[in-house]
Amino acid sequence: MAIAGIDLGTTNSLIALWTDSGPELVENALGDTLTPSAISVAEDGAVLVGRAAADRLVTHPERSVASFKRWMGSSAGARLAGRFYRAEELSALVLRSLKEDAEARTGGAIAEAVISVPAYFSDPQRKATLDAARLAGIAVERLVNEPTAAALAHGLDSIEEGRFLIVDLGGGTFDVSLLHKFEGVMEVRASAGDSHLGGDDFRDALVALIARRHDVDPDKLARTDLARLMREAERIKHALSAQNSAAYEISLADETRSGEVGRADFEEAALPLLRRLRTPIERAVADARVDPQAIDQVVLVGGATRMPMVRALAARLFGRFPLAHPRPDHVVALGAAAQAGLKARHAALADVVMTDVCPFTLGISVRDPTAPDLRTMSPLIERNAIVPISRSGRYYTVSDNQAAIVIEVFQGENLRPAQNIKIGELRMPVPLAPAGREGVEVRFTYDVNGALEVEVVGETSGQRERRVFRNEANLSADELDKRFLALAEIKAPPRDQAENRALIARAERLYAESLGAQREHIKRLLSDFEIALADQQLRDAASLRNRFAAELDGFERNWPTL
Amino acid sequence: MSPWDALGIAPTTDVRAILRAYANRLRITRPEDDPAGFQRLVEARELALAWRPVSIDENDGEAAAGGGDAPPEAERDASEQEAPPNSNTPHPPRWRAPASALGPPDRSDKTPPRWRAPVFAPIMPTRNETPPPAKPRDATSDDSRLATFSARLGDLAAATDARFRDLAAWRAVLDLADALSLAEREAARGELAALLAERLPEPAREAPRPDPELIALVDRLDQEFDLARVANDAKRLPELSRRARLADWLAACASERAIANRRAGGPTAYRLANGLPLIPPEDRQPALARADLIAIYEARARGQKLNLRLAWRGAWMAALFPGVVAVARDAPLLALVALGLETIGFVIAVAAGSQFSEAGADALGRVETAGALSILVAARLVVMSAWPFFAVRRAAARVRRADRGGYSTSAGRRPILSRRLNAHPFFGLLTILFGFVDLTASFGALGVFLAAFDLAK
Repeated sequence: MAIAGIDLGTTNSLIALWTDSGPELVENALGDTLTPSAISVAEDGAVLVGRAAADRLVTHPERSVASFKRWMGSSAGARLAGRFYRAEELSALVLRSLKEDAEARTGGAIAEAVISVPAYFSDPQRKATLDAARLAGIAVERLVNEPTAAALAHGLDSIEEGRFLIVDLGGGTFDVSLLHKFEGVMEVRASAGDSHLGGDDFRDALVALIARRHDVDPDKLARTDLARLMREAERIKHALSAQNSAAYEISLADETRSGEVGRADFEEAALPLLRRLRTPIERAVADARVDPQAIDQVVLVGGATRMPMVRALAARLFGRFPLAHPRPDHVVALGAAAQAGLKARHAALADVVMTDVCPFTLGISVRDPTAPDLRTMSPLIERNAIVPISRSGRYYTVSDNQAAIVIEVFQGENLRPAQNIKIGELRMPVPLAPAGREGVEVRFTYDVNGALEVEVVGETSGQRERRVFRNEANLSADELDKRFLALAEIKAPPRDQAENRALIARAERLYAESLGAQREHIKRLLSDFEIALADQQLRDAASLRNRFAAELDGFERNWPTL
Repeated sequence: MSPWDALGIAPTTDVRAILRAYANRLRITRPEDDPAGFQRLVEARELALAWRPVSIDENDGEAAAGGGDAPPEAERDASEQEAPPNSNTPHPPRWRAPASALGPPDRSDKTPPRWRAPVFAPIMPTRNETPPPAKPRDATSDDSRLATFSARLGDLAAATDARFRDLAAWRAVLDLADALSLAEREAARGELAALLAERLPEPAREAPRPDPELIALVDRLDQEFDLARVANDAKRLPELSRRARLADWLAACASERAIANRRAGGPTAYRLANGLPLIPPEDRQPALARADLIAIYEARARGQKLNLRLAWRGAWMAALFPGVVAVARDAPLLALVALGLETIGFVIAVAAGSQFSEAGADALGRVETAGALSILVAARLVVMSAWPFFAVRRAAARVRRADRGGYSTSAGRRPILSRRLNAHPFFGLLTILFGFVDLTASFGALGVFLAAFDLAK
């Protein structure tokens, strides 16, 4: 049974398998390797995943949702067609569709997978990812950090050894890691990142730019208008990577607005985002204690690094041209598959050892009379320590006859516990004694999967308390089972219909985006197609579909000149 | 076991040999299979990399003492420029105040620029001693870029207060910083932090907002240069007051940013953007949940009318148990009024009740019944109408407190009784007493009402 590597992305998701010739991406029913992370509920109750759902974002924004990875770990979700979906469930639907693709490819069942998460995902966000996999019926062998996966893929790709800085700017997250490759060992020296910064933010900057130009408030636009505007901004963003300016024409609030965005305008609008990109890069290099001159190569991965301004930033920071990966969208999934291969002890990878780091500091809060709220952090595992790691510290009572010591576990870099993320707490009763007489030993153990185990031992009592924070899910076990059953009942349309569905959604989207005579044309094409489908002969379906797709292609290609 | 035993090699300073030995051992001590052994191996490697031989013959004491702080880079393989992980403290102090700490720097000593001072040696150990191996052309242009930046920064440092606060002037300087490379920015950051630590005044802690201009300035610099990182490192240095001042300013900035974020997007967007957990819908209580309270406060801050529907949502609880709710709201005066009214009403009700049973209906009895009932109802009305007021006030106080600290209130269930009640036995007793009076008054009122109803029939 194969273990798959899954890149569950903000914009696109991919699944890859480790084969004898290396990691290999699996195509979905439409023949694409990228499956958009979008969900849409059709009028007949079927749940559409991928391209079709992404197209329906424009035509049916109230029934479709995307970018839900940003909600992972919170209770936010979307209400689609009267049912509330949590981010875990939406992700589970995407995972299920990926799993089906891989199963169609191998013919066997895929029950286990390595899933990549942004290095800066906090504990609840990681738990949410595990829950999503469980809802999709996948046992997660390991969660691998995205930059680590990218580093692994790059490290396996390139023959030379040395230090590489992997900069991964995806749709919604930004990660940087410094990889040191020597003697067949791939060592991640440091990871840093921003789990709320990605290509989507650049698109939003463009949306704000266009809205400001035409004096509209994006918050007050109708959902369909906003969806159209976002899509147009996405198109402009892509176009600006290749050319110096891009024209647009869009109808907002029943009024057609047109204009042109130059690359310089976009760069100015995105300047604050570029600044935010710099901080994690600096932090990773500083944490790895590597001279910037000693970095052999800067590697850009992630779809958003196609933007020239991101490349220029990397070039400016390091005084040399970065290496742009030819397929920046695929790297993380390939790395996840390689990790799966490592996990399965594949023969081709017998000599490769990969070590990772814990990207954030873990510690507990202690009393500090000088701090405003009387508490400061006492770090136990410092960020970018090589994992697995186990560290301990001793803590003592601060007042006479203190009955218990409360160990509050925090994750984060800030000095003040209140500004870090609280993971949980343990309470250890101690015998009554003068202050400072009684104490506990606290041991943190962080394993390769990013699970933290905290053990507290009373110094005189010898009483022990252990807790693995990974084990308590955001949703209770009952809740998970219930939702699993509920999700199992949701039927995705059969795989052979996926292509038809996607084509129809695409035609609907084109209809919504065009005007006048073009609309009539699309409408006629679509109705022809639907009629033909309704009384289809199975052998005709494929040729019919191809013809329809070709017509839509031609239509879209000639679009701006029509 | 010495690190050399763990690595299986003889003591050496050859970085490549140590890494090779580490790699070989790693293949039999995989991190997945033997976490403890792996950790020992990693630690052995760090120790080995930090190890420096001390020759007994020419032990001049300095080499031994210096071994800890100054990595003798020159001894090492020229291709290995990496500082040994353990040779410095985990976070080496990146900057130190320049010598001319207490006054604006003398303009005449503009050259050599301040960044060249050896105080930044820990970050760029190779910069001053050995020239960077590659790209001499770049090095010169780097020099001039950084020199220009430093000179402009010096100008600002010497400037008058008004010009020091001038955002446009700073923006011009920061535009220069955009072109700097990573290593130069590191030097620039130290210089900037030192300058700010000198020039920033003491923030007024209790003032609602410290100087907004300066906040905007520091915020901008923080976004550009991640000054918080410097401040955290600075906390480890003995010379505290100036560093602490910078840290305080940064905290004030964080707080301003938090408020602005929340104003802009509302609590949910704010929590999402900051990776804070949301209150799950299933955990929200029928009475006012935290998010509702924050919403009310937001509305007030924006000058909108209080959302009455929201505020009254919990008033039914106050109507049922006015005394307990008043105590729980930390409103002692209200609690006393509620308790007093309830007690009087109850006593009258009991007296009236006994009269009914003895002498039957008379005019006096009816008046007393009506009086008792109206007093009891009044007690409930008073507390019920005051409840939203206190709830909002407390929420506002909590949000203000959170804003001062620069963080959002933590999620979770909101206790019905305040924490103080649970903690202190006196308040616990008081709550029990009030609960008792509440209950008896409620049943008493019901009894009186039923009796009066009977009579009317």
